[in-house]
Amino acid sequence: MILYWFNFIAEVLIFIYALAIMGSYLVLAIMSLDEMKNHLERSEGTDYRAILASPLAPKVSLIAPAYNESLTIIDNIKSLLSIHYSKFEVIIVNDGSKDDTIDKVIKYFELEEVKPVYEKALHHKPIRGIYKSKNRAYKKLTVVDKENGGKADALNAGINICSNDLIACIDVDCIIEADAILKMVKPFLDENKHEVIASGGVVRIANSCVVEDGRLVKAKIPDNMIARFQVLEYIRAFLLGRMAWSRINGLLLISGAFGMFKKEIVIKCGGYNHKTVGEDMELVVRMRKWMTQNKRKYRVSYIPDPLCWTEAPSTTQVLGRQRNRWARGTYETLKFHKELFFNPKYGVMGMVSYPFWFFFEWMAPFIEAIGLIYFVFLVITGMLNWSFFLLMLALVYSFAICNSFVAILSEELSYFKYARRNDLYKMILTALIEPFVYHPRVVYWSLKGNFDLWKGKTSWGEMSRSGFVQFKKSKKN
Amino acid sequence: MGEFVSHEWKVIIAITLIVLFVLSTLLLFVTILIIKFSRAGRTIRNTRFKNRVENKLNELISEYESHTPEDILKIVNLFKPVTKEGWQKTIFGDLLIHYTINLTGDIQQFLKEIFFGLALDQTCFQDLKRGNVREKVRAMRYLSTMGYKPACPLINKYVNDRRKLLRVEASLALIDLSENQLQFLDKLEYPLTQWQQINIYKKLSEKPPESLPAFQRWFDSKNPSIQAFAIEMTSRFNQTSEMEKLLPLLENDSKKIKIKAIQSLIAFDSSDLVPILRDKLAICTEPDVKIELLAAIGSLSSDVSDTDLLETYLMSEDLSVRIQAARSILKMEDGSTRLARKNALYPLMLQPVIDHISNPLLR
Repeated sequence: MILYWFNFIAEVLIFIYALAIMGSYLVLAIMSLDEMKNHLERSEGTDYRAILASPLAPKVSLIAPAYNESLTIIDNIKSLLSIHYSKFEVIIVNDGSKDDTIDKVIKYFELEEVKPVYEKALHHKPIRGIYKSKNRAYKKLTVVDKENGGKADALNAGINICSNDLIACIDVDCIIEADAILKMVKPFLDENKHEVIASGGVVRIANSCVVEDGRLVKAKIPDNMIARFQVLEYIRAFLLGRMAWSRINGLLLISGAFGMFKKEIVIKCGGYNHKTVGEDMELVVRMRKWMTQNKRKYRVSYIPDPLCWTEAPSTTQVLGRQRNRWARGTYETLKFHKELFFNPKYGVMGMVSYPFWFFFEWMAPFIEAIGLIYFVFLVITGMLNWSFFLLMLALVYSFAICNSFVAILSEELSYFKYARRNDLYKMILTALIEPFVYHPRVVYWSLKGNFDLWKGKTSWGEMSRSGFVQFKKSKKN
Repeated sequence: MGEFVSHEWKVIIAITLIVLFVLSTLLLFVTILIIKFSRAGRTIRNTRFKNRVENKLNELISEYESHTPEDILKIVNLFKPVTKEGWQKTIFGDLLIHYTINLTGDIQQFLKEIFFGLALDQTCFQDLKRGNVREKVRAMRYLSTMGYKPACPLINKYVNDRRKLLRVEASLALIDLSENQLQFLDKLEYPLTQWQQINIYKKLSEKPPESLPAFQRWFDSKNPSIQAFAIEMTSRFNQTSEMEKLLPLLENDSKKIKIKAIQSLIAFDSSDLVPILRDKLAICTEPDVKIELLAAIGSLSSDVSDTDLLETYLMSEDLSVRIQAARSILKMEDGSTRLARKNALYPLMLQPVIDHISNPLLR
């Protein structure tokens, strides 16, 4: 009798959880599509050229930390220096690279050590030297060489040194669209009654894409299956998820690969947190909290245009390390700000965003794992109702496919970056097999991340990349 | 099916949802394919049409000498059959706008007459009344480029629209069409966003300076963003006669307004105002405003005694204030000697600042 009730309650709870998660994703998808439609209408009528030559345009500091980037650093910096914007500076922070990153940069850009005075508003590891170029062509470049302290530490050093009110934090190995800054700046210029404190853009996968002179010229679906799964995953996350969160001003995460912030607020709330590997999400949550506590009306803006392209991990080992880190970062952020949980004082963030992240982002892998264990238990005890099990499997699978198809539709309606029909077929095929081939691994890595955190793991994890050089070789493909 | 009995309600929900998801997926799949295939066809069709009408327009422009109403009628009749559909009107309208902006004189007038002859202004009116945001924006651009003044009352309605894009576009169109270019500022209920200011400034820069209004008119606007914009424009368009009127703004509650006013005074390069700035500096508590006042005194003053005043700020707790004070002293007569003397007394505090401001790479 007890077993029966246990069985009944477990099934009902899992069923309700599944319905809740599906319902919330469905609502997010519908909201995203509507917001996308509005955004496209707005952006089609927007002439970004007005900012290009305007003396009224705000100055922007691009901060890019670099660690062991010797292979591609020169191309990366040149690419950053060639963006379409007039008033900007590029600050490269060499975070104690073990290779010859700094030597290469000093030599190529003809750098000379300078001693600027600046407010040390944020804490970071000691700086070994700050360099500026003697060559007028690179006058917008500043290079900071510091002791290794991690990405958050390097960004804090860059924030201290930069001289502009808007800061764009960028992964140095990302490919930024030429008009990315123009588009990212716009929400800050457009602020009305609410102050815009941060703005995020879509990050896309650059594997197999054609890159020339540091610019992406043709988007292609990656040949590598691991990378291909991530293309779909990123489209779902950026075009469906974040778009909807932005609509209700509930966005908690701006990708560490590319985000723009108001320097004043970043400094006031203490800059990037060294104690977490999820420093990007943690900063946004802290900034939002600070604004609420100081009774300032604010918005975290989001632009669905593909502005930044990054090389995704193409092996399971590297991807596993990345997902492990993301899982730890999520938990750490949620833990650091646990007072937000269903706290009406924090509005949408406290009542909707935080609980969503807690129940459907952080807890989901645990629930899936419990479901699996429960399934094994039922098989062993002979209590499994196979018909019902298969029905549930079909429900989850059909939902997963449907959600992926909404994402593909959203991409086709908006930016259709993958112009070839073959790419569309590949994406559809990927959507069909992803729930069985890719998703279980992501769940496993998330669980392992939480387990590693419990064991006290705090390291970032080595992220080996092929670099853009390989993309350049694929130019003639 | 007997196995389902204990799960009856769950089974009903699950089956319903599966059917829903499967049907939705199929529908999405078909929609995606239709979009993909029709887009390719649409692109080819639009390109072909654009090339055709563009060639025809080029031909007309290159052979143009003069035109009579009969000529226009002939050309209108030529284009009428190919501009029936909405998409054709859009492509053709865009082309006409492009040429109208880039050409001048009689040819421009000729193109405008083709536009009105094809009744594209009426289409714009319809779009302005009933179109979506995209169509409304396009209509306002078309009508303002074509200088169609009767559209003003209708466009005026969008000055306070809840959609920012329409507000921006309406304000830009009114600058082109209205007799009093910036009158809309008087009734603007929303803040004039920085984006809007950038676009308006761009538009105003294309006009002859003498045709611009005196911006001091908005110095006492109740809308702080309009006040800030007016101050900025006063200096951008060098309306020096308005200089005196900037002074009361130094008392404004808003830090932003104060800073803008000081920056404008620097741009006017008037040394007569230094005593007032000196008094303001003495009572100023906001570091950002202090920095601007120091910069202003450094730029405008030729009185050596002001160096003493500036020197007192070299010991400020605020690093930015110290840097600005040093910069301003360097601009004064004998400033470098004075700075070196002070540095000899407080090398730990001043040497880094002097190194910073004197390094050309850090400018």
